[in-house]
Amino acid sequence: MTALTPPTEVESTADSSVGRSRDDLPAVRARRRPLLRALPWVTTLAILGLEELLSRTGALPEEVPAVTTVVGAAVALVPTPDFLLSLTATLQQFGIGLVVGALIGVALGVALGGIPLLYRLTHVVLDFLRFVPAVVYLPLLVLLMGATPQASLFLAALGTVWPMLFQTYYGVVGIPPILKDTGRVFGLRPHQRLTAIVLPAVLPFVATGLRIAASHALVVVVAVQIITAVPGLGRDIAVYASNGVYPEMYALVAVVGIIGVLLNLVLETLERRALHWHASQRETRS
Amino acid sequence: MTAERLPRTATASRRPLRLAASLALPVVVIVAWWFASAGSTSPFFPPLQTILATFGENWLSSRVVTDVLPSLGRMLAGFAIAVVVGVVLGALLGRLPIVSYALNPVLQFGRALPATALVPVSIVLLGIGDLPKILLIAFVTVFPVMLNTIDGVRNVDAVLEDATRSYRLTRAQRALLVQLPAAAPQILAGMRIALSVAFVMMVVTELFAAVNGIGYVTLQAQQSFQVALMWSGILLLGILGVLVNGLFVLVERRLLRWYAQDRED
Repeated sequence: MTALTPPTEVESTADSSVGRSRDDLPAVRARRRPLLRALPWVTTLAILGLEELLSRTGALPEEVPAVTTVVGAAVALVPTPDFLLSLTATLQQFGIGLVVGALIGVALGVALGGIPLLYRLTHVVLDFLRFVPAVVYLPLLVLLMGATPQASLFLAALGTVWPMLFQTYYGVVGIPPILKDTGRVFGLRPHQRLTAIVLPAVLPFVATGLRIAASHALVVVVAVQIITAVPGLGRDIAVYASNGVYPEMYALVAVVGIIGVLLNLVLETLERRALHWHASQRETRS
Repeated sequence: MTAERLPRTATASRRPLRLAASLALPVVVIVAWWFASAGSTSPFFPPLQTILATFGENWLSSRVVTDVLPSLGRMLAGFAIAVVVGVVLGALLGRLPIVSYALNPVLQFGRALPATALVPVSIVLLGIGDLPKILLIAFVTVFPVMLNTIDGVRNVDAVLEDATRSYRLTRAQRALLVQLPAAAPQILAGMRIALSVAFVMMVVTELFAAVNGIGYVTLQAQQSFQVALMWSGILLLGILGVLVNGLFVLVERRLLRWYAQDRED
């Protein structure tokens, strides 16, 4: 069953970087040429403008309102107390679930990485459970806890635990023995070993785990809301959809999308920082 | 610390012991569940025996055709479309940096948007049949495949590129024989992410609005208080999740053996 361990997830960070990898790419040249820098936004506006045009001329079905109509709906919707309640509910379920799941995942990952016997005893069960998506437990949770924010929070935490646990575990077992031996030879105290050896080696893995876990937790929270009518933006999207209030529906989808984008930006920045440190460490070693 | 890192040969004699340690907990869990639930009269936790009997009566007989195959078929069809479209578009965009740069905000938004928010939208636009579900799964899983392909194709070794050019490989030959194989590790990583998203979307689309499928039956069972059927549905979805995602990891390992060896040299 150890064969089921996927290649370390750090490699899959590659999925996050269109337009920022090589010196000769437009993104790099753009720093010097303002016209080029504006290109992505001009293109985006052009696409939205085309949609506006197609919708206004009736080329699109009435279920697809024009961009300006959606923006108008968003502007009217965002200041309302109902929207703010749903936004807070979504962020709460997501945020608390993520933090609780991350703490449990990191704690378990450290324990499994530090105690080989514990890993040997539990890895078959863990390798099984990691591949069961959190939404699968949804009917059971609703049966036991009802359609409550707690059920949503619980599932978000559950979806967070697995990536955090395995990333932390890879980080802990990946610490080169020579680093640990060196620390011992230098007579580092436990807290010095923690800050100088363990944390720098493990943090990049934890950062990657957090990015993967966060996008998954958001998917789970929205899913619980649309399916079970737990309060939140997902429920509102489903309600607007079934009542045929399409501009508001798209406005909320855009809001959820923007939350996803912001989340990604923040966590990718965190991750790049942690990884940068990791890479420079590796160079000095070789 | 070094004692745990002994080479494999030194511990070979202990292999049966290690295997026993690995399998102990799964056996204990199943046995404990079996006996702890044996006399259960709780409406929420039926005996494991009942759950397994229900499992056999439903998921191993008529529901294979009416629910299991439609579920898996929709997921695999959506995933297959996403892989074909994602790899082709990604290979093109990876060779046209200016175009992928121009489309970057749109692509990043598509990737970051929580896929499940689109489930009600897809029903508004397309209805609740098979095709809407397939198209939705394809749409949300195309982004990880495409973005990873763009990245992989773009980062082909420059020396390798020059070599293929001096050998006068045609454009098509370069794409098929050099660029795509070189990008394979990233494409497969994207496909792995896409497949897990496809599985989640299969379940969620069936829980939200459907007329058949494993998720649909499981939720109906919960709402009509057929608790054993609900448990068996969750069990089946769990096993399928492990099979689908776990098998892909094995396939990926196998296909990328050259890559792992390469990196060790």
